[in-house]
Formats: sequence, structure tokens, C-alpha cells
Amino acid sequence: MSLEYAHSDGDPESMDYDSPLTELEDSGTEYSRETQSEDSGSEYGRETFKKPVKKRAKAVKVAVKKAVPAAKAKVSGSSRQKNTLSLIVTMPLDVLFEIFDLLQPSDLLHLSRTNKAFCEVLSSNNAASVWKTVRVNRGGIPDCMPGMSEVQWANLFFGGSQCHVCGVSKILRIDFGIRCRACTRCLKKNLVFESSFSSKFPGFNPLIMDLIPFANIGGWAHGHASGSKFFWSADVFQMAEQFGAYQKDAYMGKRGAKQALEVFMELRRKYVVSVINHAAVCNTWVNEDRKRHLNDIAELRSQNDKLIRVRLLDLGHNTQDVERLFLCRDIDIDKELTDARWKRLLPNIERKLSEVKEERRLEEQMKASSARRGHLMLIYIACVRQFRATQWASMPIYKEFFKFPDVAEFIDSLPSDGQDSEACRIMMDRLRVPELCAEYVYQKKLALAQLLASSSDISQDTLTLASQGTDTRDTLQLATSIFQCTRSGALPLITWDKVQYHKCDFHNITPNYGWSNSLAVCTFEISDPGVVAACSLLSLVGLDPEITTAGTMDQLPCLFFCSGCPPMSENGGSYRMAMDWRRSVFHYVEQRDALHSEPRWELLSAAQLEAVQSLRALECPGPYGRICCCNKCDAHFGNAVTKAAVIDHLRSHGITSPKEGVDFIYAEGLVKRPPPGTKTFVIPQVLGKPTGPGKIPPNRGKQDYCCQHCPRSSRTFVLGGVRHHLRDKHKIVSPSLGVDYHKIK
Amino acid sequence: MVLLVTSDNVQFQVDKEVVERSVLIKNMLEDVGESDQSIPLANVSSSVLKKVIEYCEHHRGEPLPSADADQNQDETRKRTTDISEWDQKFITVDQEMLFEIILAANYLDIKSLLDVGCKTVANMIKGKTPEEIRRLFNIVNDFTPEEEAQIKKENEWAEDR
Repeated sequence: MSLEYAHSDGDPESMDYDSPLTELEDSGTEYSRETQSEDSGSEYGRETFKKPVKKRAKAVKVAVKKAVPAAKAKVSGSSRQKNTLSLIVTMPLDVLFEIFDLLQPSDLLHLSRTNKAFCEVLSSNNAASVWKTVRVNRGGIPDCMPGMSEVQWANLFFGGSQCHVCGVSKILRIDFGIRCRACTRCLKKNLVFESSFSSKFPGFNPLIMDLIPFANIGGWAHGHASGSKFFWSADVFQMAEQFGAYQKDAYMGKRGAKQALEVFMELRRKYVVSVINHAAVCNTWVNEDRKRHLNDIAELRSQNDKLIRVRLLDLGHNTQDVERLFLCRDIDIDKELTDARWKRLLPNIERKLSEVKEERRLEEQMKASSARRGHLMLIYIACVRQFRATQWASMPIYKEFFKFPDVAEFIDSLPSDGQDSEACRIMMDRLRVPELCAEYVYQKKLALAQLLASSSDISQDTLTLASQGTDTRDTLQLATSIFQCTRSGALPLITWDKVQYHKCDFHNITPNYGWSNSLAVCTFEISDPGVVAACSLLSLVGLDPEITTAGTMDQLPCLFFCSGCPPMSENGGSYRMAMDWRRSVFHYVEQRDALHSEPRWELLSAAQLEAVQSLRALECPGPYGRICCCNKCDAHFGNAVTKAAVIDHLRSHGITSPKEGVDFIYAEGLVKRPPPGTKTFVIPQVLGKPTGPGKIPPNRGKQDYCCQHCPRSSRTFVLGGVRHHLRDKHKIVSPSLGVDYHKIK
Repeated sequence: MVLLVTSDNVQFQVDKEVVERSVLIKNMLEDVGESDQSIPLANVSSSVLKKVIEYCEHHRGEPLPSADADQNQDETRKRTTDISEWDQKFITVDQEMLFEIILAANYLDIKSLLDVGCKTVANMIKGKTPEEIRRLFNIVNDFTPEEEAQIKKENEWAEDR
């Protein structure tokens, strides 16, 4: 286009003209903005029609002249295309200044760095009004600091956030007193505290401190201003040099040197005052601008939030999801939400929205599942309570109940509209709990049988049959079928009888039937030391581990000493503990020391056995254990009581002579250990010395009295002993023979 | 009606009210008085004049900005770069045409059109780095690396500290 003008004009004179912008470089001519405007006005507006044509042509020529070399390499199209290059630099200066007036200081700064022509125009004094206008555009930035050019001033504000010394980025604070941006490290390195001036610069006249602008914030002050002065060390050196030159002249006695020094110092003092005053103005402006900026951002964000909400709702998204999106995700957009920006942001926002939707779905599912679990737990526990106490322990805890496929499927089904309670009731009505429990027991047995199979040579088929009860040699009842709970540790569970009643408490404090939240789902494994101990015991008594059941072993009149344990001394004698086979298994499992690396037993001789049996073991379980439950009602569901309490409770059912296993039961799961061993002296004690518990000295008379209130106990007393027992334990002060105690015949 | 002749000898018959948005033409008409003589616009091509007339037609009858208002604005008022919707659409042209319109507006002294053009260029520059500005306007970087470093250095530090 420009080329067309040149050609159509065809005036050779026009080729002499150069752009005002590019011409500056060569001619050094100063273009004042006002002058330009006036000139252009007169040239373009008021003169003859031909004049403007000439000027126009000149400007065009520059475009061709300047642009073509740069474009040669790239552009090979039409002349029209070529002339689109660098059109901006061909604009008349007054037009350019019009454009500059509309920019921000940072834009102007960037423009000044694009090429020499712009650099020179914008660095010239004539551009001062432009800089002033753009400072107004940018919220009224204070005037240029005395001693700095407009470009330097703009650079101080907008030249980037790098430290002017080391270049480290993100330095937001400008120290106007020393007129630079510097990081803390450089401030520490370069700032000199006024009190340290003499020590830092011993050769410099302290007077020069009055001639140097200073900062009020030291490098160690964490940005807090003080009344102290901190000088930039480079400034000190520079001033020392200047001051030294004046001083030298004065010492040399040059004419007027002293006055020159005085004038210099006076001017510098005024300069310092102006810098410090202006720095205060600038600091105030910066603080206000920061506040303004933050407010603008907050307002813009708020507007954008509203806009985004509306747009997302218009796109058909759920209100809840949109609200949640703003609550849980960072959607702060502090720039104007143009259509292009929205288009760019939308995929990311929608991705976040879908995450939020998924979170909400999961939360709702969890909430619904949790509510169903709560309802089901109450209904299931109420259902279990209707069964006899004898069945409670073998029924799955509610956590296991939740794992049944039908129940699990119901719990994890999609949330309904607040009808969970009724749905749970219908669900439970549909389920047949006794059958589910039978299935549960079957599966549990099957799992144990598989465990046994994996650790022995017994075939899977045999085990399956056995677990179904079709095999008389029920493998889970074998004396060697010893398990342990993986959660509660290595306490051996001998045969299915113990496993079925085992319940684990989370906290392991008070084992109970408690169908409380603390009950955990247990898994089982083979107790290897238990099996080894049982096998060795069976071997000792000459029974086949493959077929001998625990019941058979229980009936066997055999007690054992552990050969790994040395005899213990007491009262001049020494004793060993005589244990039944179950206790022996426990003993071996629990004594995991060097003496018990392998089980070694000694069978009690007939005489020893007779002696031990004549002593009668202590009542086990003890009378104070809260291990009894009424079998007539659910009063002790999850809350077993002492035997005395259950006997007392049974009176309310009209039962005065309760029978164990019929009217009340021992909660087998709570009786975790077999009775302790009995002290058996292998070397008699010295007579007259006191004896240990559980052992009656032979010279104390015959123990032929039993307490009638401890029917399960096999403990025997001398007459005085049974009276004391009744007084202390049963609070019977005047016991009667035949009612409270009886004599063994 | 006023007859305008462009640099490529195309004649435009334009309503006086429309053409008088140009201060140049308005003053000329006042000076010359009623005449059938055509006005040659040697600096304006037909394609550009067509755009200029389109602009003037659209803004026909709007008050012309006074010189005083301009002066007041220069010193104290924040200059914005907002452009009305129609003007924005109007000025959405290629860069060459944009600068031609600016030059024509400057020559014909149509302040409002000049403003629209300048604002458009200003908006193009805003927020861009020196390199982006160079790319946008095809400006050749004639600084040597040393000069560039020196400028940066000089900008950072006041010469007379």
C-alpha cells in the first residue's frame, strides 16, 4: 500500500525523507511532542494539497528502505506484503506518541527495548510527557526520582522482579532510598549501617554520609523500617571518589576549589533530602497500590466466580456440584473472563467438576452404606438376641454378617431416597438368619479344614466330608487340630470347639461377647508349636495323632511334667507343675525359650497322679470371672456375669436349682485358658514350714468338706476352711451343714 | 455533497455532514466556500477512504471533540483503551490497513478515528515482551547483544547515584 503511494507519486524528492522515528538516530534532531503536533497540523492540515503528499511519500520511503532488508530472507511475496513489515516505525512521531499515551509504563519500557529507534525516542527528554501520561494510566505512579531517567524509573518499577545485583527473582520490594530492588542476601552484603561506617571505611571522611541517599531498612530487619541509615556500599565508594576529587583540589590550593566543594556538598545535601522525601512518597504509593491491586483482584475473582457459576449451571451442571467445586477446588481466576479465556479454562474446570461429582457420589454412597450398616446392625443384633445363649457365641458378629454376599450387595447398592430403614427391615425379613449362620459355620469349618489340609497329608475330600459331619473322625476335633487367631496372638485354640467361640476385641481389654464396635473379624492359622506339643504328648501316651480326638485326650487319666522346666525349690523341697494335656500345649506354646526348643514331657507315675488327684485342683474357671449367661433370656447378651449373679438372676425365672448348660451357660469363648497346673513336690518339703497355695500339707487334717454354693468347683476344705470360704466369698456368716456345705462321703 | 478524489483517482461523492467529521476538509470547505471543485486526497487510497467514509457515516451527527477537552485529558486523566463494539468490529482489519487508516485519520484530522486506531495498536502492544512486540510488528532488533546488556544495566542503575 505504501509502495503504491510512492509509485503513484513518483516524485524523486520524496525519496529524501526519513521517518522521524528512525531519523532521530542519525540527525540527533530533538522532536518535541508539541512541536510535532503543531508541525503536522500545519503541514497536513493547513497547507496546499500537494504538501502533505510529499511528506506522506517520505514516510513511505522509509518503510520500504528499512523494512526490505530485514524482510528479504523471509518474505518473497508481493510488494504489498513486504510493506507490512515494520509499519509502526514509519508512523509520524505525533501518532506514535498518541499510541504511547495509551500504554502502561511496562509496555513502554518493553517498547524501548525493541530497537534503537524506539529506545532513543523514549529515552529523549521529549518523551517525558509520554512517561508522565503512562504513569497516570498506571494509577498515578509518583514522578521520576531525582537523578534518574524516565526509563530507569520505569525499569525500577516494571523492569522485572529480579534482584538488581545478583538477578535472583521474586524480589517484590523496591528500596527507593537506594533506588534499587535487591534481595536480602545482597542487602546484607552491600548495606552499611551508619554506626559501622568508620570501621568499614576507615579511610573515608564520615562527612560524605550526608551526601549519600540511604535506606531505612537494613538487610537483617526482615523488611521492618527503622530510623537508622543504611548506605549502599557502591554509593559510598562513588561519593568518596567525587568528594576526594573536590578535596584534593582544595588541598592543592586551586582557586575556587573550596567554594566548589561547598557548593557540591550543598547540592548533594539537597539531593539527598529530595530523594528521601520522594522515597517516602513512593513507599506510600506502593502500599496503596498494593491494596488497590489486591482489592481489584478480589473483586475480579468474585465477579469471575459468579460468572463461572452461571455458565456452569447454564451448561446443565448440578448446583451442589458447582458449589462444591468452589469449596474444594482452586478456581480463582484473577484475570478478565473473556470468551477465549473461558474456552481455554473450561476443559480444566470440567475435569475438576467431574472429580467433585465423583467425590460427591462416593460420599453419598458411603453415607448410604453406613446408614444401612447401622440399621442392619441393630436389626441383626435384635435377631441374634432371640436365639438361645448357647447359640450366640457361634453366630457371626455383625461385621461378618455384613460380608454375606446378599447383605454386602444390599449395603453397597445405590443410595435410595431416605428409605434405608424400611429397606433394611425388608432385607432382613427376606434373609433366613439360622440358615445363614449354618452356612457361616460350614464355611468357617471348611476354611479351617483347608488350613489343616495344607499343613498335613489329609486329603481335601476327607476334610470336606469331615467338616460336613459325615466323617466320624471329625478332623477339626482331633487333638492335633490346634489353631491360633492371627489378630490376637499365639494363644492356642484347641479344636473347633474353641475356634467357634473365639471373639477378638480390638483393644483386647475385656474379652466379652459384646456385639460392640470393638469386636473384630478374626482369621485363623495353624498353631505350629501347639500342634508339635500335642503330637509329642500323643506320642508319649502312645495314641495315634491321626485319629485321637481332644475328647479322648480329655478323658485320659494322664498328667504331664514339662521336662524342659527345672524343678522349683520351695520350703526345702522342690516341685514341678503337673499339667493336663491342654495346659501342657499352652505351656509349650507360651514358653518359647531355649529350654523349650522342643517339647519334652514326663508322664506322672500312678502314685504321683493319685497324689495330685487327691489334692483337687482349684476351681477353674474361678468364681469371680464374668463368664456366665442366662440361657432362658437375653439379659446377659454381650454382658456376661459371675456365676453367683446368674444364679441370682435365674431366681427371677423361678429356678432355684439351676443346671449348667440348661439354665445357664459358661461363655466358652471367654474361658481362654485351661486350669493351671498343680504343684507336685518331687522332693518333699521340710515339715513345719508354710506351704504354697493349692497344696494342703499332709498333717493339716482331712479336707472332706465342699461348698454347696460352688457346684462346679471340686475344691475341698477342712471344716474351718469351708466356713471361712462361705463367709468371705458368699457372705454367709452362719453356714449350715447340708445347706451351705456338705461333707464328702 | 462533496466530491473527494483519492490517490488512485477514484471519486467519492460524500454527504457534507459526513465528510465534515474531518477537520481538515471542514476547514478547507470553510476557506474555499461553496464550490463544485473536487478535493484531491493524494495521501488516501480509495480502499482506505472507503473505510474512513464508513466510519464517518456511522458516527454522523455525533459531537466533534473540542480542542480544550483534549488538552485537559492529556495531563491528568487516565487514558483508557476501551473501544466501542461497533468501532472494534470496524477496526478489525489487517495491520497494513490499520496503519493506513491511522495515517488517513491523522491526515484528515478525524480525532475519534485516530483514537480508535491508536487504541487498537496500543491494545496490540499491551502486556507483550520486547520480543513479542518485535514479532508482532516485524521490528528488526538492531541492538548488538552487548548494547542490549548495556541498556538493561543502565536501566537498572541510575547513572547519577
